[in-house]
Amino acid sequence: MLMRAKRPEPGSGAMEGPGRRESGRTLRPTAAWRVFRLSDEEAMLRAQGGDAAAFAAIVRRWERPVQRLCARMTGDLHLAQDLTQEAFARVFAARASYRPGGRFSTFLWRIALNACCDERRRRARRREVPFVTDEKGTRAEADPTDQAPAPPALAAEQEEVDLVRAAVADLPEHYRAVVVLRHYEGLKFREVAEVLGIPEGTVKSRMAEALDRLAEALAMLRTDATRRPQ
Amino acid sequence: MDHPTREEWMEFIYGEAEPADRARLEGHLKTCSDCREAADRWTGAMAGLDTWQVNVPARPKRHARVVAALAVAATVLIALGFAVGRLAAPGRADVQTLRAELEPALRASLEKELTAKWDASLTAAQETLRQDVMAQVRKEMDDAQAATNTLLAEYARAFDDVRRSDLVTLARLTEQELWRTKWQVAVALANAPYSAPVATTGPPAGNEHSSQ
Repeated sequence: MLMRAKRPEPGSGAMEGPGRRESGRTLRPTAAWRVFRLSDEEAMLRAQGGDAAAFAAIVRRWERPVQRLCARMTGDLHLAQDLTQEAFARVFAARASYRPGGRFSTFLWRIALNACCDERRRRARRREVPFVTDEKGTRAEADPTDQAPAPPALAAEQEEVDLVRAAVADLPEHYRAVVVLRHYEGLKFREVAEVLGIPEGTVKSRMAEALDRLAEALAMLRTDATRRPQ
Repeated sequence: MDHPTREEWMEFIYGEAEPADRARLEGHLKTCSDCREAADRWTGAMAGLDTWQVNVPARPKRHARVVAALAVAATVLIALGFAVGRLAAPGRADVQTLRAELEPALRASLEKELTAKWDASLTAAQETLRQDVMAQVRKEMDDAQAATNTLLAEYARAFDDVRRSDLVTLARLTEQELWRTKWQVAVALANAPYSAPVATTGPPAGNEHSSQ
């Protein structure tokens, strides 16, 4: 079966955020979510009026999705934590510019992606090690959570994950953003287009191109991995 | 052949195609090997993407933080209480003085308690011994009574046997003496001379009674 199963609808109103699934595990709603039942947009309007608790509820609801997005955009979980804080700081600073007619998730995803792009440019200017590097020797730097030696049974699986991460990292940023938003975060093509500010057809063509490049890169990386001496 | 666009294929493989478009694309896949190859390539890449899962550590829950804070506070309070108790405790000399004061009373109390227990134990032992001796004596007396009764019965039987034997012997001797006497009388009568009786007017005096 070629058609992909539908992912849960993210990014809008009361159905998004806490109900999402990641790695087969359902994220339980927070206490604030159960008590107040505020949509993201309502919470953001309250935050505009100075309600700190409403903004805290937004942060609790969205910090893990945003951190996942940043981790996949940068390949670095620790850097993703910093960028998540940076993104929410920007949201708070820009809360006055939020318009109630727009979807909050679109507003938030855009700010988070901009934070990742700004970090990449800043590193490029300072000639620091780019957060997306080649596959050699990047495992410890790219994701410190993987530093522990993997058991032999999981070594092959971990190597496949490394190959995929390297292949995603090699994608140009505008392709990577489409892949992360559509494939990993489960946004519709229309919503991705809204976040990125580009036509929906462009999003789809970028997705197809990204998948072509990923298939090619994965095949090449797998070939290299099999040739590499053990 | 009129192939669907890549955009249409993206909608198809991500499940966003309308039902009519989906049916059309599925039909096309069955007839077009080029498109089938491309779709397989894309779905293979998607499957590869699915292997990379990012596990973001969860923020500690608020109630967990509250519990942790309470635990820390409780630990601090316990440590403070222990320290204050140690500092406020009397010195070693006071402990010895207290022991000296309490020792006689404790000793007397202990002795009194032990004595009472000893007396109670002794009384119980005596009572038990008395009951055992009485039971033993009663049993011995019963046995002796039974033996006496048995001997008396045997003696009575023996006495009866002897008496019966004596009576039989006496009867036999009596019978023999009776026969001997009868025989002697008969012999004497046979040897005595015959004398005709003398007629008299009356019995002589003094023989009246014996002649009758």
